[in-house]
Amino acid sequence: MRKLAFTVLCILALACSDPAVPVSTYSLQIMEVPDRANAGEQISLDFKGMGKGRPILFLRNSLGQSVLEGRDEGERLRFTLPGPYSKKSGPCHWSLVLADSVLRSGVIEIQPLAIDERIETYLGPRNVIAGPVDHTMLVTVPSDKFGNPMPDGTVLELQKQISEQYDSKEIQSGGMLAWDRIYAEEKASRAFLSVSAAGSTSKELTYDIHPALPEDFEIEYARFHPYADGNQVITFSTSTLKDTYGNIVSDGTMVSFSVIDADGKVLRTQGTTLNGVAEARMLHPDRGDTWTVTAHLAGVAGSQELEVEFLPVIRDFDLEWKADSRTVVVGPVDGFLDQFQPDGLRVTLTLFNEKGVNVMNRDAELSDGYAGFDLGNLSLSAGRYLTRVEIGGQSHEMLIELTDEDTE
Amino acid sequence: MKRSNLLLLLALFLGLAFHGSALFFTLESTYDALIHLFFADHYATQWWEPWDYRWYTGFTVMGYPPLVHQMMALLSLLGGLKFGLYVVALTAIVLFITGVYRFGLIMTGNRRIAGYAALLAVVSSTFIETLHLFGQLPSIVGLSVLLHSLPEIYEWLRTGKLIKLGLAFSLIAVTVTSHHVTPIFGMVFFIFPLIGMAVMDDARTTVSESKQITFKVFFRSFQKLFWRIVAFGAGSLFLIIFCILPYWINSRENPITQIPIPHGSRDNFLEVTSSGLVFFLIPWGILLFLLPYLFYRFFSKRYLFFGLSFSLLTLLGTGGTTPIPRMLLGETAFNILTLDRFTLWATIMALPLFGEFMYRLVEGDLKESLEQRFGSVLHRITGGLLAGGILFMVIFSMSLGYFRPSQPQKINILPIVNFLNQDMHDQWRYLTLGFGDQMAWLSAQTRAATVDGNYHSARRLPELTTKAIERLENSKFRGVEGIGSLQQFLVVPEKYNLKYIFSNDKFYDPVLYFCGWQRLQQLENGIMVWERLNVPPLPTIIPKEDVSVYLKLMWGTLPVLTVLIAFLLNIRLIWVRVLKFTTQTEAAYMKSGNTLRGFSPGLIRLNAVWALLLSLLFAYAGYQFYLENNTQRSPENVVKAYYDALDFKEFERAHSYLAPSEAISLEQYMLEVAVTDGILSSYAKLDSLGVKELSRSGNTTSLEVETVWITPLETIRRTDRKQVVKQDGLWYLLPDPPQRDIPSDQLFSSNVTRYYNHGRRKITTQQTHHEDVLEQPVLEILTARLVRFGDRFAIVGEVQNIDRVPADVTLSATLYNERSKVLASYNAKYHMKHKLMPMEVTSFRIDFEKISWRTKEDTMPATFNPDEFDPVVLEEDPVRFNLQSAANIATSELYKDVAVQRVEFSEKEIRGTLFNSGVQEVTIPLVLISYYDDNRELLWVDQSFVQDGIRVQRVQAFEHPLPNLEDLEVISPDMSNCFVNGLPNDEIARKRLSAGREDSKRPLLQPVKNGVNGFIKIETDHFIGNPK
Repeated sequence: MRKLAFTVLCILALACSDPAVPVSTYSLQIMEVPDRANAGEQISLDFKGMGKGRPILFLRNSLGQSVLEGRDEGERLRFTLPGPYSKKSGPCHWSLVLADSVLRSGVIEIQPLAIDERIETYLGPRNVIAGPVDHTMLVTVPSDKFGNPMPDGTVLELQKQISEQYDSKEIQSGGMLAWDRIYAEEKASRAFLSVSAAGSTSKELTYDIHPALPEDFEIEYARFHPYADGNQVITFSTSTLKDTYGNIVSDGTMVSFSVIDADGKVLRTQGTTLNGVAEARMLHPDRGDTWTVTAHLAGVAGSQELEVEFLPVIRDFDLEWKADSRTVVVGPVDGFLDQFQPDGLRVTLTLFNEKGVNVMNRDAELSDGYAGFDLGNLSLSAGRYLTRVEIGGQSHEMLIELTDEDTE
Repeated sequence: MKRSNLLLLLALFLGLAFHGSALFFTLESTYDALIHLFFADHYATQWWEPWDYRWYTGFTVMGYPPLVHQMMALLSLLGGLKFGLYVVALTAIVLFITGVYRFGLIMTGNRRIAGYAALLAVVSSTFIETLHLFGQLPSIVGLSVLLHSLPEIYEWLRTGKLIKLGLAFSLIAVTVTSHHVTPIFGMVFFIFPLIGMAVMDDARTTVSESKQITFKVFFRSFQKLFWRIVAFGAGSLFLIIFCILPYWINSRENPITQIPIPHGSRDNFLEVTSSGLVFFLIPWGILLFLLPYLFYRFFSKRYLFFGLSFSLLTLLGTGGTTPIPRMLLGETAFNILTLDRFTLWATIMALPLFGEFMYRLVEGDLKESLEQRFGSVLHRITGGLLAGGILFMVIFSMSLGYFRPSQPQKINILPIVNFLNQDMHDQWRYLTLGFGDQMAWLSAQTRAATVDGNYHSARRLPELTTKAIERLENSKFRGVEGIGSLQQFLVVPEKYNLKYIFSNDKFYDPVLYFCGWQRLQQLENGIMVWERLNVPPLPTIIPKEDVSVYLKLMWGTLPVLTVLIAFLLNIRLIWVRVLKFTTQTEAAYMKSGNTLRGFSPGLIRLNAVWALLLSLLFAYAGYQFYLENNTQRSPENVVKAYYDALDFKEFERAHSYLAPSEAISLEQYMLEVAVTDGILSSYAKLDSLGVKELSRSGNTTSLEVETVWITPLETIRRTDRKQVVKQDGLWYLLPDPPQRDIPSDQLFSSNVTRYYNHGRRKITTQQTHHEDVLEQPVLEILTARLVRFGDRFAIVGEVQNIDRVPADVTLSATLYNERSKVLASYNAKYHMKHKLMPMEVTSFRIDFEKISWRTKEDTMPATFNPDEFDPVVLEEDPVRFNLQSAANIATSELYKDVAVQRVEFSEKEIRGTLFNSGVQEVTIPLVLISYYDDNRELLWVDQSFVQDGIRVQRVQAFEHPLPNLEDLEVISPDMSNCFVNGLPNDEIARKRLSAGREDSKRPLLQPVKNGVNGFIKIETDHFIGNPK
């Protein structure tokens, strides 16, 4: 199928082609051809030709190539450059071609117009870090209204406002662009830039200078009482986190607090900064303890060690074995003001058999100052057991006896 | 002159009135209708192009015969897609009723009986189910046209008139282009018996009594008709192949690689009673009571061949109840075909004889026989019972879709369509979750593409073809394969350009969150839109499999042409028939019908006994059902009922199982239940439940309840102890003690930094304005090491956000062998915190998961485990890796206020409690544990989900098993190929932290003795179900 189509096309092409025109019979006279023009003007090339055939104009500029057909204006043959060619600055090469021969050729130098009132600018990155290292880069493309670049050495003025400090400098274009590196300052702030030249200016450009990495800091804590009641909340907070230049770190920066308890267990809480201060909360432990607290921004900054002591909250409590309901009753549990301890404090019961083997662990929560453990439905065999009940680090023991009837 | 058949007219009138009006309430919530609508939309927008990009990363519609879809598409040009759907459905109803009438005529040769058959077709439960529950339009159209072709085939065989052959061919061509399975099996099950019957009738004309038809006589007639049969057979074979040639070529080029997807029609109906109901009881309906009559009649001489066909269809329709269908069809065909179609054909084949029975009962010899022998009362009772039974089946099957909806509630699709059209959201693929078949309706209305689809034979991605799941969007119903398949798309969405997920089912929320997705917005129809950052848009040019122009032309023209030809050929005859221009010669089948001579009393008795037995069976089954479901009859039942109520969140019912003696008011119970949140109470589905009695004394019983819950993240096995008591003859549960903990503050405040991203600041249709593009936050990969643990390879490490804004982090790693050949590539899934605040660190682990069960030899695990890990099988050992981290600014899901309040270690596990110190309720906490050697070098990372949520200012216990890391091997600690946002990691680190890091400022690690002596670190991440 394709072969067939190709053959048909070839035959058609041959049938349509003109016989070659002998060039020698054609004489040509240049009537009016500019060698210099301003971008956007109407540019025409006028010739006067005698003879058989009709030449065409071959154009070539930085956009690409094209072929123009002439128009008869009386005796003249006139070629008018189309918009894209007349607006484009730089050399525009032309050749007048008849059949296979170039009759004449030349170049029109098209000049850019004056700089456009709006300068094309690019700025990035838009966020830099305070200090001498980080920078952003401004690139401008000074050009006329058709987008033709200004000649090298075009002078532009770069203006900057930062913290009410005004600053300006000159930059020169080269290779179609003018650019500058703008280094961050020490103070975190927002900077505003513009670029201008005679009669033209850029839009407002902004970039932000953000605080650098924070320095070491201090931590402290706040709580309402020093007792390990497993209920109140202790709040750790940092001093204001600042970088070397005194900038407060960005909001949301995470500070991780590590707590080592008396057992050497590492507990953890975290908080994010607001105005440089991070707060993190934990519950009071449910038994007397001493915490060593440090805070970090992993690998970047750290705090001093802070020691927090928690006192046991329970003064004392009673144990009672209710044989009829097969229940160990714990309580009343008195707190540090002899009050009923608030609900929810963990009560642990450990049961040992006569051989001293731990047969069972049960947890319960304190409710209205009491807690109860129902041993009736736990499939324990009859016999004597030692119960140990622990609340808030204090423990009491009691011997109980389960009968067959109880263990049913 | 013959009179118009009033019964047929009545049937058409009733059929259109009843089905035609019910359609509007049923069709759109059927399984298939919306799929056909999507195909119709395809033809409406691109008639000639068989490739559709919108499903399965592109598929060809040449995998389904196009006629019905193309007709809808043509009609949609008049009044929209749904107009097309309903017009085609109404046509199908007319075609079906008239088809049954004509089938009845050739079977019985009696217009009145055929009229009865047409009336019964209107109320047949099998038709109701196929149309109103399944929505199988092409199948109905194909079958109806096939029924219409039967008289023409018969006439051709008997009379040899070429016009009849032409008519038969024209109708068969229409059948072929509307449904592919119907003509193939229709040949076997309808046309072969028809040929047999034609030969038999021909033989009958040569002898004076039907008893005289011997095999010899039959064979002589067969010889006589042989060439007509051959001409017809060859012609229809040619039509079957030619009319949908592109379909056959496509099935050869793209053989179905899909592994079998379980279908209810293949179940054992005695074990899976729901399948038995839908695929056996409903389609058979009242016919079940008449089986003896049907078999007796079908095995009379004239219908012998139909009898064989009917028996075979009945048998095949029983699915997996007996092993016979599997043996008959062979393993492959059994697993591909849906067997309900056999029952459909059997019940439709029985309609003429059912009509005959009703005729005989209402006005024929059966009536006489009954009245003579038992008086008119019994006749009336029988009639009443039958009529009542038919009515019951009609109402029952119509209401099934109402009481047990097979689809989620109707979703207003418009907001989603608007969302996709907005802001170039359709430049990415999307996925729907929990939409049911309505996803097809969404697809039909948008240009955007999804990775999912609703026609699974057309799938091409191995991630889908290797899983027996119907669709990704309802993957939760298919357990491990479902969620596993879904996860492969969620974890590596950039591979599929998948950026948006529309979720209509919050069950999937946790898996979306922990795979790194974030909530974008809730649309006004309640659908939650999830998005994933760092996913590139679809390329402008997507590859497709092109087919030759000839095939496209055939596909676009032939089907419609077959309808036109059939229409032109038939319309003349219909006009002639309806307007009664000329007297017609009586059709041959009108002369061959059986004359009905008396009803055998034995048959009456047999059928009566059968009907009685069947009724007893149903009554017994009903009683058993009652016993099983009587909730408080035994301790086991009450526990099961309680968990069932909890599973379905029917708290009032659950409360009714609690012992009245405990006097817990419903209000109090609701308070206690309403405050519990977490993966178990909000995102789990009860999979199985076992109850073991521990002890019993008097009216009190202790039970151990073992439950297995399916959650989107993992399978949870739980053992609870429950006590039940008997009070007033009923068993009740004793409630668990409530939580006593009271937080210290009634009201407290918490300050958090919140972020907002404008997106477009300048209103422009330009692709995002360059000034509005946010810079990617800078990360630093602190450590990354390739390790081998057992048979799996993983990359573990730590990454820190060293920028000033929160980052959403995507980590993807590739393994190489010594010759730098790529071995595997995957992203980090659960083992990291995807959102990092400035300066926050997360440990991570990237597993290399393979596309599960890629080869047929791989066996699928029988039990559910969404967390199932299937390590990729590497041909060679990896020695190097490449780690790409990419960050984007995150503005949501940034809750961090959970503290590790307490930890304890034993040999085997870590136990501890978490404290929620902030102001959001944590629904699912994740504990991420990193293990270090004694030089504090990272070895391994693993994770646990905590089963219960953490309420504000409260604690929640967690436990995590400690792995034995003795056989862990570090293969490569080389970090030279680690990249951050495409830039080398060490360069970035040097620029941002020119002073270097100080080890002393690292967070403290927990020393621990476990396998290797070393340290661990505990981090937490949290899914918030309802962010405030």
